[in-house]
Amino acid sequence: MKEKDFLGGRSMALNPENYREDFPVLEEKAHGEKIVYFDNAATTHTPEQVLQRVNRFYREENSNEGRSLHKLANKATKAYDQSRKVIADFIGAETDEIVFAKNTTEAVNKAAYGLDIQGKILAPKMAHHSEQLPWRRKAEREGLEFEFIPTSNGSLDLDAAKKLIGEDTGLVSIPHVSNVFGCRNPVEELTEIAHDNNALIFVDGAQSVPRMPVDVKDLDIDLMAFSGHKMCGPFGTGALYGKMNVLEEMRPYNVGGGMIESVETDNVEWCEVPNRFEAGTPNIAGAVGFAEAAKYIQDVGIKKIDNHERRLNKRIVEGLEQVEGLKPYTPEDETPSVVSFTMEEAHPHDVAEVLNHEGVAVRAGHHCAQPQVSDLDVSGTVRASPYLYNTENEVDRFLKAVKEVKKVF
Amino acid sequence: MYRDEILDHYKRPRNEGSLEDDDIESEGKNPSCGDECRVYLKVEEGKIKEIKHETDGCAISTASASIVSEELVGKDIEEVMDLEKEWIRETLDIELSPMRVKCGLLPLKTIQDAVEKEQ
Repeated sequence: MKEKDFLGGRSMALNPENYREDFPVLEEKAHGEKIVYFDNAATTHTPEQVLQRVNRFYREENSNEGRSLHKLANKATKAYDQSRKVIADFIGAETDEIVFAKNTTEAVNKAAYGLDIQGKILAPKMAHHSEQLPWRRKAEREGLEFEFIPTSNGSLDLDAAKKLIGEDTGLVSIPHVSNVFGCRNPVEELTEIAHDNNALIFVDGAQSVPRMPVDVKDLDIDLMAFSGHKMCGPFGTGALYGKMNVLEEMRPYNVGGGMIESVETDNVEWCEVPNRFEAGTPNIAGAVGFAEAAKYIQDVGIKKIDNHERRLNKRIVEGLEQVEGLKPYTPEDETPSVVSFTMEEAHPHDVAEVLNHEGVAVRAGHHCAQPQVSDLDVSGTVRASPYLYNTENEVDRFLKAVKEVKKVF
Repeated sequence: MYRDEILDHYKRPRNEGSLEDDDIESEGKNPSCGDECRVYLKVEEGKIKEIKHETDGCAISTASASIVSEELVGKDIEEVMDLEKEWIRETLDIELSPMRVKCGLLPLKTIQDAVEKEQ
Protein backbone atom coordinates (compact mmCIF):
# COMPACT_ATOMS: atom_id res chain seq x y z
CA MET A 1 0.00 0.00 0.00
CA LYS A 2 1.42 3.34 -1.02
CA GLU A 3 1.72 6.18 1.47
CA LYS A 4 2.79 9.70 0.60
CA ASP A 5 5.81 10.76 2.58
CA PHE A 6 7.15 14.22 1.85
CA LEU A 7 10.12 13.93 4.17
CA GLY A 8 12.16 11.41 2.22
CA GLY A 9 11.62 8.49 4.55
CA ARG A 10 11.30 10.15 7.95
CA SER A 11 7.66 10.56 8.90
CA MET A 12 6.48 13.18 11.30
CA ALA A 13 3.66 12.43 13.69
CA LEU A 14 0.16 13.18 12.44
CA ASN A 15 -1.08 16.63 13.40
CA PRO A 16 -4.87 16.42 13.63
CA GLU A 17 -5.20 20.19 13.32
CA ASN A 18 -4.14 19.81 9.67
CA TYR A 19 -7.26 17.77 8.97
CA ARG A 20 -10.01 19.01 11.27
CA GLU A 21 -11.17 21.69 8.86
CA ASP A 22 -11.91 18.96 6.31
CA PHE A 23 -14.67 17.76 8.64
CA PRO A 24 -17.23 20.54 9.24
CA VAL A 25 -19.27 18.29 11.55
CA LEU A 26 -16.46 18.69 14.09
CA GLU A 27 -17.75 22.24 14.64
CA GLU A 28 -21.06 20.92 15.97
CA LYS A 29 -21.75 21.58 19.63
CA ALA A 30 -23.57 19.77 22.40
CA HIS A 31 -24.58 21.65 25.53
CA GLY A 32 -22.49 24.63 24.48
CA GLU A 33 -19.28 22.73 23.83
CA LYS A 34 -17.76 21.46 20.58
CA ILE A 35 -18.41 17.74 20.52
CA VAL A 36 -15.49 15.49 21.32
CA TYR A 37 -16.35 12.72 18.90
CA PHE A 38 -14.93 9.51 20.36
CA ASP A 39 -17.35 7.14 18.66
CA ASN A 40 -15.31 6.40 15.52
CA ALA A 41 -15.55 2.64 15.98
CA ALA A 42 -19.28 3.08 15.30
CA THR A 43 -18.76 5.39 12.35
CA THR A 44 -16.25 8.00 11.23
CA HIS A 45 -16.89 11.48 9.89
CA THR A 46 -16.78 12.17 6.16
CA PRO A 47 -14.43 14.84 4.81
CA GLU A 48 -15.38 17.55 2.33
CA GLN A 49 -13.23 15.87 -0.31
CA VAL A 50 -15.43 12.77 -0.24
CA LEU A 51 -18.68 14.77 -0.14
CA GLN A 52 -17.58 16.86 -3.10
CA ARG A 53 -16.53 13.79 -5.09
CA VAL A 54 -19.95 12.20 -4.50
CA ASN A 55 -21.66 15.45 -5.51
CA ARG A 56 -19.51 15.65 -8.64
CA PHE A 57 -20.60 12.16 -9.60
CA TYR A 58 -24.27 13.11 -9.35
CA ARG A 59 -23.68 16.45 -11.10
CA GLU A 60 -21.37 15.38 -13.96
CA GLU A 61 -21.31 11.60 -14.33
CA ASN A 62 -24.68 10.37 -13.17
CA SER A 63 -25.82 7.25 -14.96
CA ASN A 64 -26.12 3.56 -14.37
CA GLU A 65 -22.90 1.63 -14.91
CA GLY A 66 -22.07 -1.42 -17.06
CA ARG A 67 -25.29 -1.29 -19.01
CA SER A 68 -25.75 1.47 -21.58
CA LEU A 69 -23.08 2.78 -23.94
CA HIS A 70 -23.79 6.51 -23.99
CA LYS A 71 -21.36 9.11 -22.73
CA LEU A 72 -22.72 9.45 -19.20
CA ALA A 73 -22.92 5.68 -18.85
CA ASN A 74 -19.29 5.42 -19.94
CA LYS A 75 -18.31 7.99 -17.33
CA ALA A 76 -20.23 6.13 -14.61
CA THR A 77 -18.78 2.76 -15.63
CA LYS A 78 -15.29 4.17 -15.61
CA ALA A 79 -15.83 5.82 -12.23
CA TYR A 80 -17.17 2.60 -10.71
CA ASP A 81 -14.40 0.40 -12.16
CA GLN A 82 -11.78 2.87 -11.06
CA SER A 83 -13.22 2.88 -7.54
CA ARG A 84 -12.92 -0.87 -7.35
CA LYS A 85 -9.24 -0.64 -8.30
CA VAL A 86 -8.57 2.05 -5.68
CA ILE A 87 -10.15 -0.06 -2.93
CA ALA A 88 -8.24 -3.14 -4.12
CA ASP A 89 -4.96 -1.21 -4.06
CA PHE A 90 -5.77 0.04 -0.57
CA ILE A 91 -5.64 -3.50 0.82
CA GLY A 92 -3.12 -5.01 -1.61
CA ALA A 93 -5.67 -7.03 -3.58
CA GLU A 94 -6.31 -7.56 -7.29
CA THR A 95 -9.11 -5.41 -8.67
CA ASP A 96 -11.47 -8.29 -9.37
CA GLU A 97 -11.00 -9.66 -5.89
CA ILE A 98 -13.15 -6.82 -4.52
CA VAL A 99 -16.92 -7.25 -4.25
CA PHE A 100 -18.73 -4.08 -3.24
CA ALA A 101 -21.27 -4.45 -0.43
CA LYS A 102 -23.37 -2.00 1.54
CA ASN A 103 -21.40 -2.62 4.74
CA THR A 104 -19.29 -5.23 6.55
CA THR A 105 -22.44 -7.07 7.65
CA GLU A 106 -23.61 -7.60 4.09
CA ALA A 107 -20.11 -8.63 3.02
CA VAL A 108 -19.99 -11.34 5.71
CA ASN A 109 -23.46 -12.52 4.74
CA LYS A 110 -22.45 -12.77 1.07
CA ALA A 111 -19.49 -14.94 2.04
CA ALA A 112 -21.38 -17.09 4.51
CA TYR A 113 -24.18 -17.76 2.05
CA GLY A 114 -21.94 -18.27 -0.93
CA LEU A 115 -19.24 -20.55 0.41
CA ASP A 116 -19.37 -24.30 0.44
CA ILE A 117 -17.82 -25.18 3.81
CA GLN A 118 -16.96 -28.74 4.66
CA GLY A 119 -16.19 -28.88 8.34
CA LYS A 120 -16.46 -26.98 11.60
CA ILE A 121 -16.73 -23.20 11.75
CA LEU A 122 -14.85 -21.38 14.51
CA ALA A 123 -15.17 -17.77 15.66
CA PRO A 124 -14.15 -16.05 18.88
CA LYS A 125 -16.68 -14.92 21.47
CA MET A 126 -15.51 -11.35 20.92
CA ALA A 127 -16.72 -11.46 17.32
CA HIS A 128 -19.24 -8.75 16.44
CA HIS A 129 -22.76 -10.02 15.81
CA SER A 130 -22.30 -9.16 12.13
CA GLU A 131 -19.33 -11.49 12.00
CA GLN A 132 -20.59 -14.43 14.04
CA LEU A 133 -24.31 -14.56 13.25
CA PRO A 134 -23.98 -15.27 9.50
CA TRP A 135 -21.64 -18.20 10.31
CA ARG A 136 -23.86 -19.44 13.14
CA ARG A 137 -26.91 -19.33 10.88
CA LYS A 138 -25.04 -21.18 8.13
CA ALA A 139 -23.93 -23.85 10.61
CA GLU A 140 -27.48 -24.29 11.86
CA ARG A 141 -29.05 -24.44 8.39
CA GLU A 142 -26.44 -26.77 6.90
CA GLY A 143 -25.84 -28.99 9.92
CA LEU A 144 -22.27 -27.81 10.43
CA GLU A 145 -20.61 -27.59 13.81
CA PHE A 146 -19.96 -24.10 15.19
CA GLU A 147 -17.65 -23.46 18.13
CA PHE A 148 -16.45 -20.33 19.99
CA ILE A 149 -12.77 -19.61 20.53
CA PRO A 150 -12.42 -18.25 24.06
CA THR A 151 -11.03 -14.87 25.14
CA SER A 152 -8.67 -14.36 28.02
CA ASN A 153 -7.58 -11.08 29.56
CA GLY A 154 -8.97 -8.97 26.78
CA SER A 155 -7.30 -10.95 23.99
CA LEU A 156 -8.00 -14.00 21.92
CA ASP A 157 -6.82 -17.18 23.65
CA LEU A 158 -4.31 -18.33 21.04
CA ASP A 159 -3.47 -21.58 22.84
CA ALA A 160 -7.13 -22.51 22.93
CA ALA A 161 -7.44 -21.58 19.25
CA LYS A 162 -4.51 -23.86 18.33
CA LYS A 163 -6.23 -26.76 20.09
CA LEU A 164 -9.55 -26.07 18.40
CA ILE A 165 -8.35 -25.70 14.80
CA GLY A 166 -7.86 -29.16 13.35
CA GLU A 167 -8.45 -31.30 10.31
CA ASP A 168 -12.17 -31.17 10.95
CA THR A 169 -12.19 -27.35 10.63
CA GLY A 170 -13.70 -25.83 7.51
CA LEU A 171 -13.41 -22.11 8.30
CA VAL A 172 -11.97 -19.86 10.98
CA SER A 173 -13.47 -16.38 11.31
CA ILE A 174 -11.46 -13.75 13.17
CA PRO A 175 -11.98 -10.08 13.97
CA HIS A 176 -8.70 -8.42 13.07
CA VAL A 177 -9.25 -5.81 15.77
CA SER A 178 -11.86 -6.32 18.49
CA ASN A 179 -14.44 -3.55 18.70
CA VAL A 180 -14.86 -4.32 22.41
CA PHE A 181 -11.31 -4.73 23.69
CA GLY A 182 -9.37 -3.01 20.95
CA CYS A 183 -6.92 -5.91 20.83
CA ARG A 184 -5.23 -6.90 17.57
CA ASN A 185 -5.68 -10.60 16.97
CA PRO A 186 -2.82 -12.76 15.61
CA VAL A 187 -4.21 -13.14 12.10
CA GLU A 188 -0.92 -14.28 10.51
CA GLU A 189 -0.49 -17.10 12.99
CA LEU A 190 -4.11 -18.18 12.78
CA THR A 191 -3.97 -18.09 8.97
CA GLU A 192 -0.99 -20.44 8.99
CA ILE A 193 -2.68 -22.86 11.36
CA ALA A 194 -5.93 -22.74 9.39
CA HIS A 195 -4.17 -23.37 6.10
CA ASP A 196 -2.11 -26.21 7.61
CA ASN A 197 -5.46 -27.80 8.32
CA ASN A 198 -6.95 -27.00 4.91
CA ALA A 199 -9.38 -24.56 6.46
CA LEU A 200 -10.31 -21.15 5.08
CA ILE A 201 -9.66 -18.00 7.08
CA PHE A 202 -12.14 -15.14 7.08
CA VAL A 203 -11.18 -11.81 8.66
CA ASP A 204 -13.54 -9.13 9.92
CA GLY A 205 -11.53 -6.06 8.93
CA ALA A 206 -14.13 -3.49 9.98
CA GLN A 207 -11.93 -2.08 12.75
CA SER A 208 -8.50 -2.78 11.24
CA VAL A 209 -8.63 -1.52 7.66
CA PRO A 210 -9.48 2.06 8.72
CA ARG A 211 -6.63 2.37 11.19
CA MET A 212 -3.63 0.17 10.34
CA PRO A 213 -1.87 -1.05 7.20
CA VAL A 214 -3.57 -4.24 5.97
CA ASP A 215 -2.12 -6.17 3.02
CA VAL A 216 -4.24 -9.20 2.23
CA LYS A 217 -1.47 -10.88 0.20
CA ASP A 218 1.10 -10.48 2.96
CA LEU A 219 -1.42 -11.89 5.40
CA ASP A 220 -2.44 -14.61 2.89
CA ILE A 221 -6.03 -14.49 4.17
CA ASP A 222 -8.79 -15.99 2.08
CA LEU A 223 -11.57 -13.47 2.69
CA MET A 224 -12.06 -10.16 4.46
CA ALA A 225 -14.97 -7.80 5.02
CA PHE A 226 -14.76 -4.10 5.81
CA SER A 227 -16.84 -0.89 5.72
CA GLY A 228 -16.45 2.40 3.93
CA HIS A 229 -18.25 4.45 6.55
CA LYS A 230 -15.73 3.39 9.19
CA MET A 231 -12.90 4.93 7.13
CA CYS A 232 -14.28 8.34 6.25
CA GLY A 233 -16.42 6.99 3.42
CA PRO A 234 -20.16 7.37 2.90
CA PHE A 235 -22.76 5.18 4.55
CA GLY A 236 -23.93 2.25 2.46
CA THR A 237 -20.41 1.26 1.36
CA GLY A 238 -18.18 -1.66 2.14
CA ALA A 239 -16.44 -4.55 0.48
CA LEU A 240 -15.77 -8.26 0.57
CA TYR A 241 -12.24 -9.23 -0.45
CA GLY A 242 -11.70 -12.82 -1.55
CA LYS A 243 -8.86 -14.71 -3.20
CA MET A 244 -9.92 -15.26 -6.79
CA ASN A 245 -10.03 -19.05 -6.49
CA VAL A 246 -12.21 -18.75 -3.38
CA LEU A 247 -14.65 -16.27 -4.95
CA GLU A 248 -14.92 -18.38 -8.09
CA GLU A 249 -16.28 -21.25 -6.03
CA MET A 250 -18.91 -19.08 -4.31
CA ARG A 251 -22.55 -18.86 -5.27
CA PRO A 252 -24.30 -15.47 -5.34
CA TYR A 253 -26.47 -14.22 -2.46
CA ASN A 254 -28.62 -11.75 -4.38
CA VAL A 255 -29.59 -12.64 -7.93
CA GLY A 256 -30.98 -10.39 -10.61
CA GLY A 257 -29.78 -7.96 -13.22
CA GLY A 258 -26.13 -7.24 -13.86
CA MET A 259 -24.72 -10.56 -12.62
CA ILE A 260 -25.72 -13.05 -15.32
CA GLU A 261 -23.95 -14.49 -18.33
CA SER A 262 -27.20 -15.68 -19.89
CA VAL A 263 -30.83 -16.17 -18.87
CA GLU A 264 -33.01 -18.66 -20.69
CA THR A 265 -36.39 -19.95 -19.67
CA ASP A 266 -34.91 -23.11 -18.27
CA ASN A 267 -31.33 -22.19 -17.48
CA VAL A 268 -29.34 -19.35 -15.93
CA GLU A 269 -25.58 -18.88 -15.98
CA TRP A 270 -24.00 -16.45 -13.54
CA CYS A 271 -21.33 -14.15 -14.82
CA GLU A 272 -17.76 -13.91 -13.68
CA VAL A 273 -16.42 -12.64 -10.38
CA PRO A 274 -16.84 -9.99 -8.92
CA ASN A 275 -19.95 -8.87 -10.80
CA ARG A 276 -21.55 -12.19 -9.91
CA PHE A 277 -21.98 -10.89 -6.38
CA GLU A 278 -23.33 -7.43 -7.22
CA ALA A 279 -26.88 -7.93 -8.43
CA GLY A 280 -28.93 -4.88 -9.32
CA THR A 281 -27.89 -1.26 -9.66
CA PRO A 282 -24.96 -0.76 -7.31
CA ASN A 283 -24.35 2.19 -5.03
CA ILE A 284 -22.16 3.82 -7.68
CA ALA A 285 -22.00 7.23 -6.02
CA GLY A 286 -21.20 5.47 -2.77
CA ALA A 287 -18.39 3.44 -4.34
CA VAL A 288 -16.92 6.59 -5.83
CA GLY A 289 -17.04 8.22 -2.39
CA PHE A 290 -15.55 5.12 -0.78
CA ALA A 291 -12.60 5.28 -3.19
CA GLU A 292 -12.14 8.98 -2.48
CA ALA A 293 -12.08 8.17 1.24
CA ALA A 294 -9.39 5.54 0.63
CA LYS A 295 -7.33 8.16 -1.20
CA TYR A 296 -7.87 10.62 1.65
CA ILE A 297 -6.63 8.05 4.18
CA GLN A 298 -3.62 7.26 1.98
CA ASP A 299 -2.76 10.95 1.75
CA VAL A 300 -2.90 11.32 5.52
CA GLY A 301 -0.89 8.10 5.89
CA ILE A 302 -2.32 4.92 7.40
CA LYS A 303 0.76 4.30 9.56
CA LYS A 304 0.53 7.85 10.90
CA ILE A 305 -3.15 7.32 11.68
CA ASP A 306 -2.26 4.10 13.51
CA ASN A 307 0.45 5.78 15.59
CA HIS A 308 -1.67 8.84 16.33
CA GLU A 309 -4.68 6.85 17.43
CA ARG A 310 -2.68 4.56 19.68
CA ARG A 311 -0.92 7.55 21.21
CA LEU A 312 -4.31 9.02 22.08
CA ASN A 313 -5.57 5.69 23.41
CA LYS A 314 -2.46 5.33 25.57
CA ARG A 315 -3.22 8.76 27.03
CA ILE A 316 -6.83 7.69 27.61
CA VAL A 317 -5.84 4.43 29.32
CA GLU A 318 -3.27 6.19 31.53
CA GLY A 319 -5.84 8.80 32.49
CA LEU A 320 -8.53 6.26 33.24
CA GLU A 321 -6.16 4.25 35.42
CA GLN A 322 -6.09 7.24 37.78
CA VAL A 323 -9.83 7.18 38.30
CA GLU A 324 -10.92 5.27 41.38
CA GLY A 325 -13.61 2.68 40.89
CA LEU A 326 -13.06 2.58 37.15
CA LYS A 327 -12.34 -0.75 35.50
CA PRO A 328 -10.75 -0.82 32.04
CA TYR A 329 -11.35 -3.79 29.70
CA THR A 330 -8.18 -3.57 27.68
CA PRO A 331 -5.69 -6.17 26.52
CA GLU A 332 -2.83 -6.81 28.89
CA ASP A 333 0.17 -6.09 26.78
CA GLU A 334 -0.77 -3.78 23.97
CA THR A 335 -2.17 -0.31 23.51
CA PRO A 336 -5.72 -0.93 22.39
CA SER A 337 -7.40 0.43 19.27
CA VAL A 338 -10.53 1.26 21.27
CA VAL A 339 -10.83 1.73 25.05
CA SER A 340 -13.64 0.01 26.96
CA PHE A 341 -14.34 0.55 30.64
CA THR A 342 -16.96 0.50 33.38
CA MET A 343 -17.42 2.68 36.46
CA GLU A 344 -18.72 1.41 39.77
CA GLU A 345 -20.89 4.50 40.37
CA ALA A 346 -23.06 4.21 37.34
CA HIS A 347 -24.47 2.02 34.59
CA PRO A 348 -22.62 2.44 31.26
CA HIS A 349 -25.58 4.26 29.70
CA ASP A 350 -25.63 6.76 32.52
CA VAL A 351 -21.88 7.31 32.18
CA ALA A 352 -22.37 7.93 28.46
CA GLU A 353 -25.25 10.30 29.24
CA VAL A 354 -23.15 12.39 31.63
CA LEU A 355 -20.35 12.45 29.06
CA ASN A 356 -22.89 13.61 26.48
CA HIS A 357 -23.85 16.48 28.78
CA GLU A 358 -20.18 17.45 28.79
CA GLY A 359 -20.13 17.35 24.99
CA VAL A 360 -18.28 14.02 24.75
CA ALA A 361 -19.60 11.33 22.42
CA VAL A 362 -18.91 7.69 23.28
CA ARG A 363 -20.78 4.43 22.88
CA ALA A 364 -22.18 2.38 25.75
CA GLY A 365 -23.67 -1.07 25.77
CA HIS A 366 -22.76 -4.49 24.52
CA HIS A 367 -21.33 -3.17 21.23
CA CYS A 368 -23.10 -5.88 19.23
CA ALA A 369 -21.00 -8.48 21.02
CA GLN A 370 -23.41 -9.83 23.59
CA PRO A 371 -21.75 -13.26 24.05
CA GLN A 372 -18.46 -11.56 24.93
CA VAL A 373 -19.87 -8.77 27.10
CA SER A 374 -22.07 -11.13 29.10
CA ASP A 375 -18.96 -13.27 29.70
CA LEU A 376 -17.45 -10.25 31.41
CA ASP A 377 -20.43 -10.32 33.74
CA VAL A 378 -21.33 -6.71 33.04
CA SER A 379 -24.41 -5.25 31.40
CA GLY A 380 -22.17 -3.35 29.03
CA THR A 381 -19.13 -1.13 28.83
CA VAL A 382 -18.42 2.46 27.84
CA ARG A 383 -16.24 2.66 24.75
CA ALA A 384 -14.07 5.55 23.59
CA SER A 385 -12.63 5.34 20.08
CA PRO A 386 -10.70 8.35 18.74
CA TYR A 387 -9.52 8.71 15.12
CA LEU A 388 -7.22 10.78 12.95
CA TYR A 389 -8.91 14.11 13.61
CA ASN A 390 -9.00 13.82 17.43
CA THR A 391 -6.55 15.69 19.65
CA GLU A 392 -4.80 15.34 22.99
CA ASN A 393 -6.90 18.26 24.30
CA GLU A 394 -9.97 16.24 23.49
CA VAL A 395 -8.58 13.31 25.48
CA ASP A 396 -8.16 15.66 28.44
CA ARG A 397 -11.74 16.90 28.02
CA PHE A 398 -12.91 13.30 27.93
CA LEU A 399 -11.02 12.46 31.14
CA LYS A 400 -12.47 15.55 32.85
CA ALA A 401 -15.96 14.46 31.78
CA VAL A 402 -15.38 10.97 33.21
CA LYS A 403 -14.60 12.58 36.56
CA GLU A 404 -17.91 14.49 36.32
CA VAL A 405 -19.70 11.14 36.54
CA LYS A 406 -18.46 10.85 40.10
CA LYS A 407 -19.97 14.25 40.93
CA VAL A 408 -23.37 13.36 39.48
CA PHE A 409 -23.56 9.89 40.96
CA MET B 1 -31.80 14.18 32.84
CA TYR B 2 -30.30 13.50 36.24
CA ARG B 3 -32.25 15.98 38.28
CA ASP B 4 -32.32 15.43 42.04
CA GLU B 5 -35.57 13.51 42.14
CA ILE B 6 -34.36 11.01 39.53
CA LEU B 7 -31.06 10.48 41.33
CA ASP B 8 -32.90 10.08 44.63
CA HIS B 9 -35.17 7.38 43.21
CA TYR B 10 -32.14 5.71 41.60
CA LYS B 11 -30.09 5.63 44.78
CA ARG B 12 -33.03 4.81 47.05
CA PRO B 13 -35.67 3.08 44.96
CA ARG B 14 -39.07 2.86 46.63
CA ASN B 15 -41.04 -0.40 46.80
CA GLU B 16 -38.10 -2.68 46.15
CA GLY B 17 -38.67 -6.33 46.85
CA SER B 18 -41.16 -9.03 46.06
CA LEU B 19 -44.66 -10.08 47.15
CA GLU B 20 -45.76 -13.43 48.50
CA ASP B 21 -48.92 -15.09 47.30
CA ASP B 22 -51.89 -13.62 45.49
CA ASP B 23 -49.65 -11.65 43.26
CA ILE B 24 -49.13 -11.42 39.54
CA GLU B 25 -45.59 -11.24 38.26
CA SER B 26 -43.73 -10.45 35.13
CA GLU B 27 -40.18 -9.80 34.02
CA GLY B 28 -39.01 -7.30 31.46
CA LYS B 29 -35.61 -6.74 29.89
CA ASN B 30 -33.90 -4.30 27.60
CA PRO B 31 -31.32 -6.65 26.12
CA SER B 32 -29.61 -3.85 24.24
CA CYS B 33 -28.57 -2.11 27.45
CA GLY B 34 -28.96 -4.78 30.11
CA ASP B 35 -31.83 -3.27 32.13
CA GLU B 36 -33.90 -5.93 33.90
CA CYS B 37 -37.10 -5.38 35.86
CA ARG B 38 -39.18 -7.90 37.72
CA VAL B 39 -42.54 -6.67 39.01
CA TYR B 40 -44.97 -8.10 41.56
CA LEU B 41 -48.54 -6.75 41.70
CA LYS B 42 -51.53 -7.24 43.94
CA VAL B 43 -54.78 -6.41 42.19
CA GLU B 44 -58.08 -6.09 44.09
CA GLU B 45 -61.47 -5.14 42.68
CA GLY B 46 -59.94 -3.98 39.41
CA LYS B 47 -57.44 -1.65 41.05
CA ILE B 48 -53.72 -2.01 41.73
CA LYS B 49 -53.36 -2.45 45.46
CA GLU B 50 -49.63 -2.98 45.80
CA ILE B 51 -46.54 -2.99 43.61
CA LYS B 52 -43.07 -4.30 44.36
CA HIS B 53 -40.17 -4.48 41.95
CA GLU B 54 -36.63 -5.79 41.60
CA THR B 55 -34.81 -3.63 39.10
CA ASP B 56 -31.22 -3.99 37.95
CA GLY B 57 -30.41 -1.37 35.39
CA CYS B 58 -29.52 2.18 34.56
CA ALA B 59 -30.54 5.23 36.57
CA ILE B 60 -33.50 5.94 34.30
CA SER B 61 -35.04 2.46 34.41
CA THR B 62 -34.48 2.19 38.17
CA ALA B 63 -35.87 5.64 38.94
CA SER B 64 -38.81 4.95 36.63
CA ALA B 65 -39.58 1.67 38.42
CA SER B 66 -39.50 3.47 41.74
CA ILE B 67 -41.66 6.41 40.64
CA VAL B 68 -44.13 4.25 38.69
CA SER B 69 -44.50 1.89 41.66
CA GLU B 70 -45.75 4.86 43.69
CA GLU B 71 -47.88 6.49 40.98
CA LEU B 72 -49.83 3.42 39.87
CA VAL B 73 -51.06 2.24 43.29
CA GLY B 74 -54.79 2.85 43.50
CA LYS B 75 -55.28 3.15 39.73
CA ASP B 76 -57.80 1.06 37.76
CA ILE B 77 -56.05 -1.60 35.72
CA GLU B 78 -57.88 -0.39 32.61
CA GLU B 79 -56.35 3.02 33.07
CA VAL B 80 -52.93 1.43 33.62
CA MET B 81 -53.21 -0.55 30.38
CA ASP B 82 -53.85 2.67 28.44
CA LEU B 83 -50.73 4.43 29.64
CA GLU B 84 -48.00 5.05 27.08
CA LYS B 85 -44.67 6.80 26.74
CA GLU B 86 -46.22 10.26 26.95
CA TRP B 87 -47.31 9.47 30.48
CA ILE B 88 -43.82 8.27 31.35
CA ARG B 89 -42.33 11.48 29.94
CA GLU B 90 -44.72 13.62 32.00
CA THR B 91 -44.36 11.55 35.15
CA LEU B 92 -40.58 11.42 35.09
CA ASP B 93 -40.52 15.05 33.96
CA ILE B 94 -37.27 14.68 32.02
CA GLU B 95 -36.28 14.79 28.38
CA LEU B 96 -35.87 11.22 27.24
CA SER B 97 -33.71 10.91 24.15
CA PRO B 98 -34.71 8.24 21.59
CA MET B 99 -32.25 5.71 22.98
CA ARG B 100 -33.41 6.21 26.60
CA VAL B 101 -37.18 6.00 26.02
CA LYS B 102 -37.11 2.25 26.46
CA CYS B 103 -35.25 2.63 29.76
CA GLY B 104 -38.02 4.86 31.06
CA LEU B 105 -40.74 2.64 29.65
CA LEU B 106 -39.45 -0.72 30.85
CA PRO B 107 -41.13 -0.82 34.29
CA LEU B 108 -44.49 0.35 32.90
CA LYS B 109 -44.36 -2.19 30.06
CA THR B 110 -43.48 -4.94 32.50
CA ILE B 111 -46.43 -4.02 34.74
CA GLN B 112 -48.74 -3.96 31.72
CA ASP B 113 -47.43 -7.40 30.69
CA ALA B 114 -48.17 -8.74 34.15
CA VAL B 115 -51.74 -7.43 34.03
CA GLU B 116 -52.27 -8.77 30.51
CA LYS B 117 -51.00 -12.23 31.46
CA GLU B 118 -53.51 -12.39 34.27
CA GLN B 119 -56.51 -11.35 32.18
